Amino acid sequence: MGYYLSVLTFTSITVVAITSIYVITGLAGLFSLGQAAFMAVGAYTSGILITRLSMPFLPAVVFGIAAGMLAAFLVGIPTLKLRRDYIALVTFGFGEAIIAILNNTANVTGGAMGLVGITPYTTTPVAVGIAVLAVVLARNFKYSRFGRQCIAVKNDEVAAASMGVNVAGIKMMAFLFGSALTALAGTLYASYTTYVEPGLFVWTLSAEWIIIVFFGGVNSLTGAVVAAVLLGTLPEILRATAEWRIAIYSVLVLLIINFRPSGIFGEYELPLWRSIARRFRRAG
Amino acid sequence: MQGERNAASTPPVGDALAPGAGVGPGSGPSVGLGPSVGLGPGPGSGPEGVVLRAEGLDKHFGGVYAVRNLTMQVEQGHTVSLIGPNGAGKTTVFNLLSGVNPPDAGRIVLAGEEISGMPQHQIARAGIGRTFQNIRLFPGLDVAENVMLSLDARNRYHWYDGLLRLPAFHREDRASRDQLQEYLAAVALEKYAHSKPAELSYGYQRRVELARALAARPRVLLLDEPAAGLNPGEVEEFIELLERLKGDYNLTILIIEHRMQVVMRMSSHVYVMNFGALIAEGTPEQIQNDPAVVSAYIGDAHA
Ligand SMILES: Nc1ncnc2c1ncn2[C@@H]1O[C@H](COP(=O)(O)OP(=O)(O)O)[C@@H](O)[C@H]1O
Ligand SMILES: [Mg+2]
Repeated sequence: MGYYLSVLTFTSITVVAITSIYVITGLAGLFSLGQAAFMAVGAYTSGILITRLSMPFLPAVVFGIAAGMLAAFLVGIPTLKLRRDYIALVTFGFGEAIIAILNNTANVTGGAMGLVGITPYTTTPVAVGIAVLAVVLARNFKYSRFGRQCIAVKNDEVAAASMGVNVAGIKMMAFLFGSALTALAGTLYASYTTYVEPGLFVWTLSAEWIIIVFFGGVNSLTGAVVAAVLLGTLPEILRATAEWRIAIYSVLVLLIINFRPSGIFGEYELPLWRSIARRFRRAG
Repeated sequence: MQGERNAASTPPVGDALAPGAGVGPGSGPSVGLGPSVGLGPGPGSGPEGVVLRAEGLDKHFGGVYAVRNLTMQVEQGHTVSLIGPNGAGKTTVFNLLSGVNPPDAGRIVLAGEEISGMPQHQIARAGIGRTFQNIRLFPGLDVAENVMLSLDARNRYHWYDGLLRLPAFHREDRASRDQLQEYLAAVALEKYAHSKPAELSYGYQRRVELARALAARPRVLLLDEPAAGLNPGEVEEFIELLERLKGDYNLTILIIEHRMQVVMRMSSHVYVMNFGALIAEGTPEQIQNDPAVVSAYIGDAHA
């Protein structure tokens, strides 16, 4: 039982992280190969506040999210103006730099040895509840003017700007909102495992997340969530080693690219998620 | 943020288009600054009716002067045509006016406000609306969402209103959806609200693009070859649609068009470009008989 609850908790944390990638990559079309570093920022900030200052969970989570957004803002200013293919490279560099900083500030972070003794505040219901909340927020974002502007900018920046969309502004908003969710996943993680080390958050994790989102369908939040649950749970159930995970993901990438480039769900969304929009349309 | 131009609740034939909206003390300085092109003697050509004015625009790409010392203006409520052979620089003029490219020299004044040098999205919000020569709809959004996007630029609810679906979100989103129905009806595409642009015929895609530009409630609407690719019957239909919309929404239009049918029927004033520069301007009748225009078109496929 405990084992299944643990899988459920880890999967919920993955869902939060995947939701953040859906916003950044699926909606805004930005590829961040350093996104896992923002999970590290959330995890370390909350972890340090809890262990060193005995801060309660909720404020620690809030500070963790704020730190993640601050880091995203600083990374985003020089990065988001770049061409899309460069964004992936530069976020990769920033991500690895953040990991290097965590490694080299051992007096605060514990360095490569990791940060230990974080209070285990993250219970399974907390993790599941926050995962549901993250998905609802992402859905609301998608069907707001901001979500439409993200998709328009992903499709055609010149046309979007001609319709009055602030291209740089909406990219920054998507990056900040997404990174807030990534950092939130980090705070949950730290207070679940009670232990974090920099090596957990390197670029391969960012790449895994992007693969999961593409597997589900980069234009479908439903697909992203389903893929997160499937691919987050499967390796745990199979008790696959890290090497096997990489092998599984590589095969998935090949299958998707060759047989279903738009992902399992394409652009499909569960009707439930659009119900409010529909109701307004009927009224209109 | 977008000034007090439009309240979400007002009907679409908006305040911005009210008679005299283009008149402002700011439009004063432009009077007399354009000696290089004589103002046409046509009706309503007084400077007080000028809503858009470009002066001395230059743009070059590498060694090619796409636009050279171009001065032109558009009066409130008029339809003005910009014609010329392929490669004359017409689309580049639109790109300068709408801020896609900044001009190398010259200035652009919209309703008394200098817009040259402003970021593209602010120019759009200031009142320049446009369509593209090659239709540029958003393939990831359905027809309704494509049009919604233009309405969105005017909405003012904040990110937290959207994320948490607070009352401001519901209020403005609902108002936008009501207006959306009207714009879809204006181009007779209500049935296709939930289709993706790629599922529509070329002519329908043109109409979606028109609805999207209309929904932004521009002071001046720039149409880049809107009738290209339509068959003669569709062109007739298109002219009728455009004339109707012009009346309903009190539009001011600058149109690039090769079809003389459209130019002659619709415009009160015509500018003719070749090799980046203006070579003639006047009423459609004057232009038709202008020797410089005739010679520019000789050998051109669109003559
Ligand atoms: N972004 C650009 N980069 C380089 N050259 C361009 C660009 N836009 C237009 N041009 C050049 O400017 C000239 C005018 O083009 P354009 O404005 O598209 O003409 P038109 O719309 O009248 O057919 C052409 O020689 C074209 O190749
Ligand atoms: Mg052109």
